[in-house]
Amino acid sequence: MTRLLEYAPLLLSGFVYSLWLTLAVSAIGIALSLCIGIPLAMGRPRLTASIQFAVDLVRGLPFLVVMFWLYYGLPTAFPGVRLPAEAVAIGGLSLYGGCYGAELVRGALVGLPKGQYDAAYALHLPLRRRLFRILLPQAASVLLPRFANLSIEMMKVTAIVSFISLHDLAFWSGQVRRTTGETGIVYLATLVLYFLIALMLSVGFRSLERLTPLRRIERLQRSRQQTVKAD
Amino acid sequence: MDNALWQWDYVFQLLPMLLQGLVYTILIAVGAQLLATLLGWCWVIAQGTPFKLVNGTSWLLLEFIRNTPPLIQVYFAFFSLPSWGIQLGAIESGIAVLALHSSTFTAEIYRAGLSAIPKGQWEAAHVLGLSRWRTWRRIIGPQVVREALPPLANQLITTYKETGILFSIGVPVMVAVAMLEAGKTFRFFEPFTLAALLYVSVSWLSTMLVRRFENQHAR
Repeated sequence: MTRLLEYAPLLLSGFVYSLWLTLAVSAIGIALSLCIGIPLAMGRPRLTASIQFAVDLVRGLPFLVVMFWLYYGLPTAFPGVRLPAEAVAIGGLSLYGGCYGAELVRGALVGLPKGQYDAAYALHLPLRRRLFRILLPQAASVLLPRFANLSIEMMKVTAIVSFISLHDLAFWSGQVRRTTGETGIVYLATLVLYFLIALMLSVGFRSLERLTPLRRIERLQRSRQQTVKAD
Repeated sequence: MDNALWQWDYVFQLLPMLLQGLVYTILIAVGAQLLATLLGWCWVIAQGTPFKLVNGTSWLLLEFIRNTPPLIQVYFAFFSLPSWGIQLGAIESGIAVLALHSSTFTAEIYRAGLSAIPKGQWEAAHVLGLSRWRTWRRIIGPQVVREALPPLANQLITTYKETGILFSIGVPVMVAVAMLEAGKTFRFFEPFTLAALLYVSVSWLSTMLVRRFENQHAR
């Protein structure tokens, strides 16, 4: 147990790395999912069909296989192409998150009341304003909780980047287990640390959700009702 | 010729081994998901009991299992549990962990199915004098199951995609076969391309089947 405390800084450095990786991958992944999801919801049929095909292709594959293919497979076929492990992890996982998130964005946009589309169209708003001032702000309050889940799912997948020699939490927990022999506690501590990342993500996204216009309006209405009752 | 990008001889040599790995992968996924469909009900029942302690602990445990990486859970089951006297083989611990992990999502599916049932049905069953068991068995159960089937099938596909991590504890799933064979020849391109193609074809086929099933039910 005391030996384990000696090795705690290693686990912590792994924790910081995993947290960083999760945040990076979630941010890029969410940005990508908007880029893919918006045309998926609003594009012309032929465009959406080809995007859907690509998205389904990525979603049908486990990230583990894609990661090995990019990291080990590509260099043996094309000797010049040697992607650094970090690029494979961040690029691959973001793309992954983008494809899973695109489906969420599409769902949220399609789920908005049809009147909102018609009204924005009738007001002759240009596409960009329709999207950024009318549709996306409303979709945001539905999307953010789903993005929270998406980023937690991505955090869970980051654990496998230890297979391509990145020094994340999963990697260090293995190292500490081998040196200390404290198998039980090391993995329990690792699980708790990963759970901590999930908690941070869910708290962070919830506070973002509170900032969305729909939630703000709800709060305003509630406080008004209370003042009416007080009168 | 030795350095050709794509060697068909090698591919045909690999294919039967990878297919065997694929069959193994599917069997493990199906086994784990079958267990998870049962375990999912355990979560629902535990959350439905009137005891606060049971509710609280099961909720915390469920959130913990759902929000931590299955890979570390596999390590925990395989490497850590023996130090507390629970000895599990690689396959057993793999299936157990995948089942447990999937069951937290299955429980959510059941809960969604349950909440979709209008309250009036419970009341009607009560008024008709049906016992609790018969209400579940004849009225609520069938509806929940029908509602839950497509998402359960999707969950099976998710579990199937997750089985790859079991290669880390030596279960001969397809990824493990690809890794082993590639390690012998140092040609990683063909095995992993093949593995990816096989993986995607099975998940596509099953996704297509689920979609068709859903559409039939919608009509």
